[in-house]
Amino acid sequence: MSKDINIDVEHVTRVEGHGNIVLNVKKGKIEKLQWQISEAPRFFEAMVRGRKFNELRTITSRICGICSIGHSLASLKATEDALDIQITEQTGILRRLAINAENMQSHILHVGYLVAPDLFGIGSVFPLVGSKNQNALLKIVKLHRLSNEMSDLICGRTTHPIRLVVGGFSITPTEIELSKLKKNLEDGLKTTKEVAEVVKNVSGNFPDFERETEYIGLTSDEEYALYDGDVASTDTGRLSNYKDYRSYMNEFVVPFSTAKHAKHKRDSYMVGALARFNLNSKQLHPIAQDVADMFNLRPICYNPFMNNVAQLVEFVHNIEDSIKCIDRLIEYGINQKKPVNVSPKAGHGVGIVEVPRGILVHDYTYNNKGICTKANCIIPTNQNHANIQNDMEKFVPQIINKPDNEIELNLEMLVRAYDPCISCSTHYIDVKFV
Amino acid sequence: MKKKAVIGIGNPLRQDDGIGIILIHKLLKDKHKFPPNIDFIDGGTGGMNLIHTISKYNLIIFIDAVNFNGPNGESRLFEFKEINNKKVSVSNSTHSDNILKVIELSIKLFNKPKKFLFFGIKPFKTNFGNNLSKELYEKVDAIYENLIKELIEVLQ
Repeated sequence: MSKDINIDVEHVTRVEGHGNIVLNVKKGKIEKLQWQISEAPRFFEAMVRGRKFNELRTITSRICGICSIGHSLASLKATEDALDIQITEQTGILRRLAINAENMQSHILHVGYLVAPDLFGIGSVFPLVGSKNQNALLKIVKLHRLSNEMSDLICGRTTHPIRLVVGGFSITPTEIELSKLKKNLEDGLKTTKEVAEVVKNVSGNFPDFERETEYIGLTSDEEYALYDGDVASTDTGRLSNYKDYRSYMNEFVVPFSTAKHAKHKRDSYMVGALARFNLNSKQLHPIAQDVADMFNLRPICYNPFMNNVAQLVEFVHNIEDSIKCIDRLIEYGINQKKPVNVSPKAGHGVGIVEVPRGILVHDYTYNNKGICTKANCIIPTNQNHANIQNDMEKFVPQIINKPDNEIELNLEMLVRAYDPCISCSTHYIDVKFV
Repeated sequence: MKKKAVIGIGNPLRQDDGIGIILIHKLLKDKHKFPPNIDFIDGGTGGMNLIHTISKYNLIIFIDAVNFNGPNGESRLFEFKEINNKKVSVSNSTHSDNILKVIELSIKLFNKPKKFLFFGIKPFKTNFGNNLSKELYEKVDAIYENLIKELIEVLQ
């Protein structure tokens, strides 16, 4: 069919931040198709220069109101790497709990509140109230509450943690508090399986679309990598030295976006839950593996819409993993010691963690007084923008004969599948005045 | 569980929009003047996270910058029905759509809060900026006095 289409979505709803979809088709030929980011850059890397090593975590946490725990952890790892600080095993386990809490918070919010309306064919989560699916909404709210309460307990606050500090934790949860959390997590696990059943019943509404691409994330021999691991690609395997992360994450700018794009071996790659699943699915805990099987999710999955299913699978994994972490903490006995002592010194450090939307890098250089002289942050959504653009370029010809409103909805759903955090990704652009 | 809460809402990086946060922090310092069954909460810029807070309380008073039919800098206590009444030129707060929807969701799902009120302050400026406008800053003490008076009446 040769027709004209003019779609200008300004801005895509049910995502964090502001992004536009522009599609112009003339007589069946695509003249313009762009995933545009129009937000102003944030300049956090400039903001932290001149600040002391123990301030960077607090400042960089503010990059994101959703991934504030992840930014804190990447920041702490970079600082501890630069200053040669060794954390205790207990701190490592508590940080795993913190990263699980954030993944849970973000994934249930995205799948439950932002993606579910597409699957139910409604505009937002609010029409679910009073519908036959109200019970599912109550379960989603319950799981969101559980995730928030877990963040409160481990990190001291739901958003922008205050207990995570260089070398450890300022306050450690007690055994009684952790035991109560474990009980709630066990209850949450049952609820999550019920929510997965509901999502399964409407999962036929995910578009059937595939595009082969590269997936990048952390990987580890020990576990399903979130807090620790090596940078890895489904195309080229592991990176031997984490400080060479730039060899995998090549950022570049495009004229229609204030956010950077990124590529590795191909012209784009994907990060996030689906990338982690494609790299590490064998290390999922058993019930998470069952949920993946329920959706027939197998690596390597090239359907970006399945990222939301991978998020649900990870939510289950995060609960199972948190229960194991709590068991270990209680078995070893919880030590209320203060964080390890820190002596400022000159150094360069890199911290890499997985946050809900994908692999996150903080890279700091300190002078001998422990003052930051240089910083670089690579944000997950930045790494996905080029892949979203490339997906759109393959997806549009497949749906071009649909009515315009369906094309628009499908493209919005594609963007939402990536769970973009656009404000975080508006990053840094070199401006040269001629 | 405490059944009553006062929640300040706003963005201190948008000048007068941050008045709800400034007032809640003043109240936190003066909370000993109120009965112990009242929680004073910094609700930030709201959003869906607030549902977990507001669904715990029977009575909530929100403090927020509100664009209503009155002079800038005026503060008033609104009932929910006034906010909903389109004929009265009470428009919503800068976070209203979000907050009112979250409150509505909480009531429908959890039957709480049973009652809620808005203490609204009409802002002068809500541009980017990390301080109140000079005009509103000069009225903060008077607004706080009015807030205390209204709270004592509602909460006692």
